[in-house]
Amino acid sequence: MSESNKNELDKLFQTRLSNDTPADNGWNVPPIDLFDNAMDALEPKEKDRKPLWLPFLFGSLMIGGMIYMFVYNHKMFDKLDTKIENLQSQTIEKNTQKVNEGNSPTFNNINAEQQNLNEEAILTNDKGQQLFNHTLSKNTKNSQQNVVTPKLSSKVASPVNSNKQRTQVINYTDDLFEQSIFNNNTVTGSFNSLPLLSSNENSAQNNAQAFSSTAQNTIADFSTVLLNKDITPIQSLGSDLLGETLAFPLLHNAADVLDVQISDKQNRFTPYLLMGTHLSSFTMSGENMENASLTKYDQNCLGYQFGIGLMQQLSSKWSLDYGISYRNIINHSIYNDQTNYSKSNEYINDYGSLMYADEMTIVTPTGIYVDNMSMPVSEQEMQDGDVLENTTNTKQVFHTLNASLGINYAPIRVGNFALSLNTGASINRILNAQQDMDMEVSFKGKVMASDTYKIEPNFNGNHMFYTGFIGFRLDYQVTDKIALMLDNRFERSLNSLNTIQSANAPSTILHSLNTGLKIGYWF
Amino acid sequence: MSENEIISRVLKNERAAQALLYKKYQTVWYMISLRYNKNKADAQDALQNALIKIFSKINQFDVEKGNFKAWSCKVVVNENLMLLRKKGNSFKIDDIEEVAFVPNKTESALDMLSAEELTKMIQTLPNGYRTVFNLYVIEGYSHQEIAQLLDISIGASKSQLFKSRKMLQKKFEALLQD
Repeated sequence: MSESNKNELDKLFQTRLSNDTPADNGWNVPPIDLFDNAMDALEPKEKDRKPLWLPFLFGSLMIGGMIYMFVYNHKMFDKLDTKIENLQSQTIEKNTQKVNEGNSPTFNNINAEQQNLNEEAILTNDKGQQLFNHTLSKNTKNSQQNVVTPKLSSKVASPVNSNKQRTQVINYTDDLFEQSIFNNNTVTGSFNSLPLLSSNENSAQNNAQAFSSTAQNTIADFSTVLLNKDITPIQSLGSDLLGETLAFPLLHNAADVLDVQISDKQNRFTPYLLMGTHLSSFTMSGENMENASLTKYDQNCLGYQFGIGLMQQLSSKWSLDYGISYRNIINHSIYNDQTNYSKSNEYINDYGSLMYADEMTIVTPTGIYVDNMSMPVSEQEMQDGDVLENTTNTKQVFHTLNASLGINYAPIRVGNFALSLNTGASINRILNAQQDMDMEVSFKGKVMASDTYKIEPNFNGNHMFYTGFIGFRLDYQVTDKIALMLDNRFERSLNSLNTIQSANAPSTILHSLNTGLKIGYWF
Repeated sequence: MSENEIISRVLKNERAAQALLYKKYQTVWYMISLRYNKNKADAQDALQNALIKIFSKINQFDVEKGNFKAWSCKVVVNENLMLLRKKGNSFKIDDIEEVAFVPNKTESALDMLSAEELTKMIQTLPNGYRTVFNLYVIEGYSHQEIAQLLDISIGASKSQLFKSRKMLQKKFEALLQD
């Protein structure tokens, strides 16, 4: 085609079609009700925004829950710290009072109580037991014993650090004792061997030795800890239960009350990577299809998932699991439909062939789609009312982002293995979706037309769905820092995935079995 | 009432103002929809969707800077393209091929054709040809813009335009012979 021809043709169309005055025969004027229909469609859309509060509420609850748990944990530990400090200062006050009271029988009672605590603690260790027995067998030796303790002098007989211990004993005079409360230097010098600061092999013996004096002279060790600002109570707490008990018998009880493992404070968050599979199927209810059927949608299809997460240890058995993952949910379905042939839809195409055009409806688990299909019918002598069979194979792939919050309970631990039960909920956003549709129209078994479509589903704003899950997890501690976790969950959507927002629309529920391998790392 | 005043009232969701604006541009918008679709029913569906878009997104239109007619026509064109895509129409086509030269015999016949007949002629074109022809010849898009808009190659856009012109030329010849 020559350039001039092109230009003539283009100019003709441009000039003639630019005239937008309504024609007399009304060919270029839209029907009167079109505007009203559009406006009616516009109004419900605004009303449809109402359900948006649901995802907003759900999201807010999840975020709020996470923030609460985070803040609550910090507060809990702060509370514990405060409680520890209070207990320490109370004990110091009490003991200061008792020291001042001197020979009062009450002080002796307190000493006896402290001694009982020592007994409990030391009895947990054989060496401690020996030392304790040895300590008990000794009698009081000097006149100061009423002020300090009748067993104080027995420390001299201790086989470990006896020289140091002797020094301690020597230091425990009335004058020095009082001085120790107010003079940090003196006491610190004497109590460097206290068990709460030591972690050597002889700690049990040290514990036993030192704690005997500690228990009898509680004032001394607590004042040391408080006055020596370099060592905070939390730092001084070790993972050794005996050490903890010996060091802070009362504080250990406080920790028990709050159901918190103090040692968890520094590593209670564990990040993990997730990868796994996603076996899913749909169930539908409320579908109303005449002469049509939708099948196969309830068969399981395998997808995959990967993501990241964070586990928050609440106690030795309870933990929270926050996760974000990508999932692809796959579904296959087959739709069979029957329509009646109508001669009014016949037309002759540019090449003189007799064609038939009709709107074909395709139902999928998540929505209904309409396709205009045309096919040659010149070879068949079609009559009004002849039955056309339409079969459409649909493969839908939903790319979703999943944010979940779960709680785990681990009742069983054997060696490096742990088994836990979990439950929770998640919020899912369909990022995008693809539909591959293979459509076939046949008449009396003969294929008259076939076509393949790739259509993006029209979600009508229904991109969100919520799921609840329940499952179990098997953990294997590979090293001190790395753990493998096999997480198995049954998950079910709590709202319909059907994109048609109508009271009569069928409800489509997602069921899935998720198996994920998580690799956790403890910092 | 000026157009800007009408638009500012439309922004306040006044139904009467919406009706006024629609009345003013209904023919332009409908003609666009007719050109992009094979039949009136599809054109009306597309226009209805376009109206919803225009009135729900009119707050994005800058009264001071923009030309409402151009903006709204673009919305109508985009809506038509979107519907064509949703219906599974692919704009992809084979690369350009050689077509024999067609002599110019149709000038006199062309002069007799009305806008309605020309529109019907465009409607008979296959989807891909029709869309590219409309975008290039009527809307004035470049091949590069069309390629981006329809997710096809520039060559495919040129090819479809070439074939659409050739097909229209044949139709003119047929008319001339009649």
